[in-house]
Amino acid sequence: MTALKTGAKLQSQHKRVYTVIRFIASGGQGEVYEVEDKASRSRYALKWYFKHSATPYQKKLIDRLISRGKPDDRFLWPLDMIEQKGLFGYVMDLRPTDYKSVLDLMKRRAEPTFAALCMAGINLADGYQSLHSQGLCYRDISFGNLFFNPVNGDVLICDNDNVTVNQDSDGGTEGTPRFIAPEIISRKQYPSTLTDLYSMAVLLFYMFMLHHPLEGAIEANIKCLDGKAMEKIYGKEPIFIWDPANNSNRPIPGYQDNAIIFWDIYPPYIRDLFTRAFTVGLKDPNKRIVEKQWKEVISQLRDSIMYCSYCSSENFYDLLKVKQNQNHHCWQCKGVISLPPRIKIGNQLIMLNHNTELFSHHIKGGFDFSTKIGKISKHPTRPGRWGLTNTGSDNWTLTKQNGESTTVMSGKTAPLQTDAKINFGPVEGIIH
Amino acid sequence: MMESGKRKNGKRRWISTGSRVQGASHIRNGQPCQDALSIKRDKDYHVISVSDGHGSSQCPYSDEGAKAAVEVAYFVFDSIFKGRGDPFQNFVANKDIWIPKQIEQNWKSMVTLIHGTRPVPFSYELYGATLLTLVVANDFIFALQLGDGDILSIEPISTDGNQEDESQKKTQVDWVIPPDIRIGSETESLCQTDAWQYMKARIIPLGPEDTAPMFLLSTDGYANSFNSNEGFKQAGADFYNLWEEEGLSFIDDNLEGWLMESSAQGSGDDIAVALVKEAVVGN
Repeated sequence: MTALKTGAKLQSQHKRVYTVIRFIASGGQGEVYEVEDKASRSRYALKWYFKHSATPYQKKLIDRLISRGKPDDRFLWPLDMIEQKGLFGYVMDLRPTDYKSVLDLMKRRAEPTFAALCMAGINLADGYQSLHSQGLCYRDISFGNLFFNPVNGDVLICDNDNVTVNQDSDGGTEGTPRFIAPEIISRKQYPSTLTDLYSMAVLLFYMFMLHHPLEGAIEANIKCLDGKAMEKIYGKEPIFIWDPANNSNRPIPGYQDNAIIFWDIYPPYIRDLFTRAFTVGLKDPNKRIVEKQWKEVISQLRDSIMYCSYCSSENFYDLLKVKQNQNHHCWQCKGVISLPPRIKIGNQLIMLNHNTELFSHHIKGGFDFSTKIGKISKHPTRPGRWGLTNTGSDNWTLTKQNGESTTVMSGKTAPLQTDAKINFGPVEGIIH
Repeated sequence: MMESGKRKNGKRRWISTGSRVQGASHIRNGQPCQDALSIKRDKDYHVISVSDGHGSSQCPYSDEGAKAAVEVAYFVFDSIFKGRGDPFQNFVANKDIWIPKQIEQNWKSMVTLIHGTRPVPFSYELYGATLLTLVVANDFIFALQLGDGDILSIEPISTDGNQEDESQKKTQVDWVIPPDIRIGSETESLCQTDAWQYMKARIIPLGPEDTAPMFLLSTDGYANSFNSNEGFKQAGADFYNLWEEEGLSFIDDNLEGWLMESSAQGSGDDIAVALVKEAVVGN
């Protein structure tokens, strides 16, 4: 039962003929199909609106978005429009099959490493920052419209058909329930970049905790989560499940386990950021966590990943534990974790694991995690000896503890020695 | 086909029916029918569910697990209709997580209660069952599936001008929730840990002018009685044509016999089948 039948031919505004190949999925607004432009032998996705969503306003919005063009390649942006018998839809690039949704993550159909999850978080915040910096507002950030590659954390943002200029009050969607900012639910505000920041924080919480930040005891005790109940939990009386000043909405063991298990896995700085996002940030939109703050803290989280020597699970280094002389216990097998060597570059503390790579971001900032400048490598002949190999183009200067300095040219390796310093050019790192 | 504008007070009305039969091999082996069927009719919506108790030696009470599954489905969906706000919006907002979690949680509570003081040590696996539910309302259809079984939509193929080709009576038969490609007989089940994660849901809005297709829900004993998917889909098309030509009472009178015959000549398994169709004013 689909609005468009397989094999149907549809002519677009750009005078292309698309053939419906197959139904992919449906949502609240419409259905998505795979279509083929036989002339170019290219396949695309077509979002076809249900009657109730195929409004003149929606069509005008898509026309504008097609004319405007995508903010960058991470956006599966409307490319072409098809109209037929009073209904319409838009054509966009197909999402590669190896990209998964946050719902896939929730349902464990995607199980990325924490490292890939962190990259997805950084890329997601960066993508929305790119959109916001152009004066645009997404309006409907939710787990149905972000896709990520579970291997490397690359993201694709789809369902861009609700994007408007910031604070547009002309109509359009208010968002997806559970992701809509409280001030929209209580009718005090229209969607804006500030309400996007709230929805983005919810999405990040879902990604890292596999749970909603406001679904605790209050939600667990509701037998029918109807419109009024949802308005209360997500809009009129929202209470963060880990609000340090209000324990009335703590998650219930046995029913909301993810919220409990994952919260304890992460180090305090990421928990603090989420706490700010869902306490002061709930009530005061101007105090919401902005994209750059998320990127900074998630980068820190990424750099703090270390491996349990017993079960190989990823764990997070916690400076507070080190300062208090506490051991790190693996969240999975509970074994005591041997801390790996670390390098401190400016304010960043990076675990030097067997697979650690350093990127341009680590020496120049800017969240560039694609330009590699170094990687950990094994000594070719001496087991147990590790070094940091210069994989960039600039030479480094290694200064050992005894003051002796040597140049580490591109392709060469600096041994990992305690208190040795490596000058990368813009910054210096100290090995611990 | 009903034309638009002929509904009473603009409201869509549904007619549903169904039957479940003990499988031919279950009769031979003295096993109970482990499939359950529930059709609950409210004036504004019907909730139709089938469930297949796994029936293996690890699941000796799966017939009760299947009954619990269809009862829980009605309880959860009925509560959404009886709640505040627009049911369609509530289904959209809750279809992926809250509804599946409620079904799993309520089923697990119910089978725990059913088990009571039985001497066998309790586990959810004793009651393992699948669940397929279809909710049909005035302005939407909602389907949910966990494990094997089929929910088909059957509708006439329209020619130009949306006129049905009476001479051909061609129908389009589709799975509402596309089936997984599965090897072996393992199926997802309510007894699994985090069973909610494996539930698939789909919501389809219906506009005032839309004519809904007919739907068929069945446990896997029915599809397995056919040699091919095409044969199974043809059975869906045949039901549609029989309903159109002979009327519901003809189907009601014969359904149980047809299912018994299918089981005897096919899978040998229990079969539960439900059919639901939009009513044409006057019938």
